[in-house]
Amino acid sequence: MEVDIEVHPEGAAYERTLEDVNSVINHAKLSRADLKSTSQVLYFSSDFPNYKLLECDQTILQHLTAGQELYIRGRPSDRAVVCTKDNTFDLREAETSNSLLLVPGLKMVDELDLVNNENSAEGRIEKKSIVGVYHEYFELKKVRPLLNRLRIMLMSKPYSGPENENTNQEGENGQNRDDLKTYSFEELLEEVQASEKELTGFLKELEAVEIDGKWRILDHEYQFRALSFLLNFVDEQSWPPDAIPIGETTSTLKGLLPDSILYHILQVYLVETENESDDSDLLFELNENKICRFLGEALLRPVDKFNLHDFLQAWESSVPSGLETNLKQLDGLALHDTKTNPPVIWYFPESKLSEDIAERIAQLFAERRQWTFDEIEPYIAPLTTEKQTVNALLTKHARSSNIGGQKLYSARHGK
Amino acid sequence: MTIIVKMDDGGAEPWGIVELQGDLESREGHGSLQSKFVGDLHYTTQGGIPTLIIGHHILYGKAVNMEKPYAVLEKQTSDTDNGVQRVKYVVKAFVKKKLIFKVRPKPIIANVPN
Repeated sequence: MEVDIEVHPEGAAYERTLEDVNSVINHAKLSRADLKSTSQVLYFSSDFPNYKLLECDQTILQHLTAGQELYIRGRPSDRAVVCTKDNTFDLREAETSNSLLLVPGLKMVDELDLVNNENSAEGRIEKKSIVGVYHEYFELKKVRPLLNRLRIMLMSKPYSGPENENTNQEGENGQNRDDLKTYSFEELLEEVQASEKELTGFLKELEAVEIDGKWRILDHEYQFRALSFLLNFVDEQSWPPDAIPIGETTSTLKGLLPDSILYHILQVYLVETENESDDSDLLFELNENKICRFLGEALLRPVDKFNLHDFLQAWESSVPSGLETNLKQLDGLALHDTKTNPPVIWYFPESKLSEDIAERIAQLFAERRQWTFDEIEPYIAPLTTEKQTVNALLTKHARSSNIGGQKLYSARHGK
Repeated sequence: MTIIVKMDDGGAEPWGIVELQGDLESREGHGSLQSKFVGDLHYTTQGGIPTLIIGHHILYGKAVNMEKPYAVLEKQTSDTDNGVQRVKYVVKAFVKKKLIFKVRPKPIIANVPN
């Protein structure tokens, strides 16, 4: 449907008068008395500024109205995302076949009644400008930010001790060369498409630590060594795993590790208890899950496949006495198969898989044809959103079948 | 790179949208629309029905409170100290209400004496 604009001979110079308006009302066989007395006469503006329309839900609206900022983040080649301090939204362009005429100060009927006696027979006109005709607007859709880029950025220069920090090597601009591969929180935000809150969560999840203003992850071997200092000391003192005096531990280990690393290791692998020692030192306990997981990973990472029985023995003897190993602690890190002879276990970390659900599903079914829910859950859970649970994602991307009373998932298009 | 979107210092004005099906075309063909007169917008006294007269057509519409309003963003560039252009968007206005005209326009049959 198209509506023609009648072009007046005088073109741009034409000024609509009340008489013109009233005369058209008559032509249209309308009665002035049936209309509110204010008529808004619409013109195209003399120029169309290049505005963008951004569709906002109530949360974003309140956020902006309260004076908070939005951040459009990413590299030029990225799909654009918009972040608040807490959340990340996909920014995409939507089209409509309708014409949206943008009119500053356009009055709705209830706004007319506030100002004038709208039932007077006189009639009056208000000129309004259309500052643009739009067929597109931008929509926001809440998304789960991607973690892989952050992981890759942090992996480019893991921290492996003060002796390996080349602080004296100057780059071209007098900048320390390592500076180019290490990032402050603000520098990470510029590159990683996530909100501040989400980035903070990711850094914690990756067990990153801030060293001299830069966020770093620890090199595996270095982390192993640092953790060993702690575990060996606890062992030498014959402390039970749930009664480690924090003050004494800190002061003893201080000479062995830089402060920031020591505090990081203590923070990651110890959990505060409510108890105190006799000389009122706060007591901490070993984080069983994290320590067993880390030591299990250290055994599995260098080898292709491990005899499950041998692995369980080696793992059990590598953890501090008082801690119990359990295969559940390796969720998302390793897979095992008890149907082979001998049973085996192998390293299969979730972090190496694609962040695209379809690609990840393909990778998973290439590794193993059939999965139980408990097996596959740790590999799907990181891609879930508020709306898409593990079950919903599996329903969409995998086929489930009931074999011998057990529900198994396999590829949709598998043989 | 981060581009900031924030409210205009003067606060955002309330703007409106007139939504029409299809396109507006000038009888001159592809001439520019700038500065041209478009039409008259009235509201009826009974029910406040938005009534738009464009050329020889009359359209009846309805007012809609938008569940998801639009923020009208204006791009602003400024030079930073080191000569790099910095882009930001300011929210000039919010559009929370619009008038939708989706009924086929009725022609006005001129009935002028002589």
